Amino acid sequence: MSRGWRAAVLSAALCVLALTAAPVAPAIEAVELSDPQLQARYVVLLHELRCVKCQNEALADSDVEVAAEIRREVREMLQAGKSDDEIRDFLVARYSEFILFKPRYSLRNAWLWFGPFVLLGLGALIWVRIVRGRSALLAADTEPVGDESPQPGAPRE
Amino acid sequence: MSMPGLNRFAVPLITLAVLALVLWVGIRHSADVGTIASPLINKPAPQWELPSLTDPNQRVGSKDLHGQWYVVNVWGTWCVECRAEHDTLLEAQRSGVPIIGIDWNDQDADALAWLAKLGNPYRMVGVDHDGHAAIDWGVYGAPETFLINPEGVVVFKHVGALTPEVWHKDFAARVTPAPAGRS
Repeated sequence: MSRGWRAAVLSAALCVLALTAAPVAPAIEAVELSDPQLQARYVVLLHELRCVKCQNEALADSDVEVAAEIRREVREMLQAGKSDDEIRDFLVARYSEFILFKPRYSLRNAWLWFGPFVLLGLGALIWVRIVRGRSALLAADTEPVGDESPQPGAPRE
Repeated sequence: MSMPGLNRFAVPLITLAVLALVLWVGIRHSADVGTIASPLINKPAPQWELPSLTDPNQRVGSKDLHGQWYVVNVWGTWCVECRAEHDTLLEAQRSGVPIIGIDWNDQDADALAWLAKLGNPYRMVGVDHDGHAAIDWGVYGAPETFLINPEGVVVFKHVGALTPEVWHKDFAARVTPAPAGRS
């Protein structure tokens, strides 16, 4: 391998390393639940819950005090044997669905999911109508061209 | 397609109207940036019981307040906006509607010194050292102020410092019969 190649490979490797390296750990309290299964659920929940104070952060990344309190609440509920859904319901009842990064499916947002398909269907309907109308026109048009249309060379007013 | 002239304008107009309606509803119903619409509105207020700030042997809580209009104000001495709204609370307290303080994430000594220095607008203050009560109220940043009716239902919530305008328009105006002088 030539020198140039070696340098290229090395820098590419460095880039990959830089991109895949673990991000700097957030400044949240280091708490490990004794049960690894609970710990795994805890970590997942923290990433799907929004910090209510600093609203662009997940609960997992926020070092605000209220986020720490909600994390503690989540841990306590996990240890008390609550299911993930019960924990989500508990927080939604207090902080509204806003606390979930992924909104729940509901009638209110159903149109977001189905609206595009309805519009697509409408578009298809209009397209079919236009195409049919044109082909019908074409079939009905038996008159020779040029009789009624203005003469190309005729003077205008 | 009997009236192509009408159709040509009707379809875009209806589309525009529907679009405008959707956007209008979206704008009307979106909260201000940063505020979370409380799901507690028109729901029973959370049950809570906390040690009293002024008398650690006593406990204060929602059961002391049933059957009357009252205000719950979540505050802390660390909270800048709480200082800003303090004068409004003192004025509001003169209306006779009891104001209950929840001192959140605070040191008792600091809180007592604050009330001694600035005046105490609260009928009673419960101390919430660990934030359990605050989470039950869906609090995410002090100050937050709730209005509860005699049936124990949360009628209104204000996030941020109270001003005299907010107090009169959103709190006092909802209380029936209208709060007059001290009862």
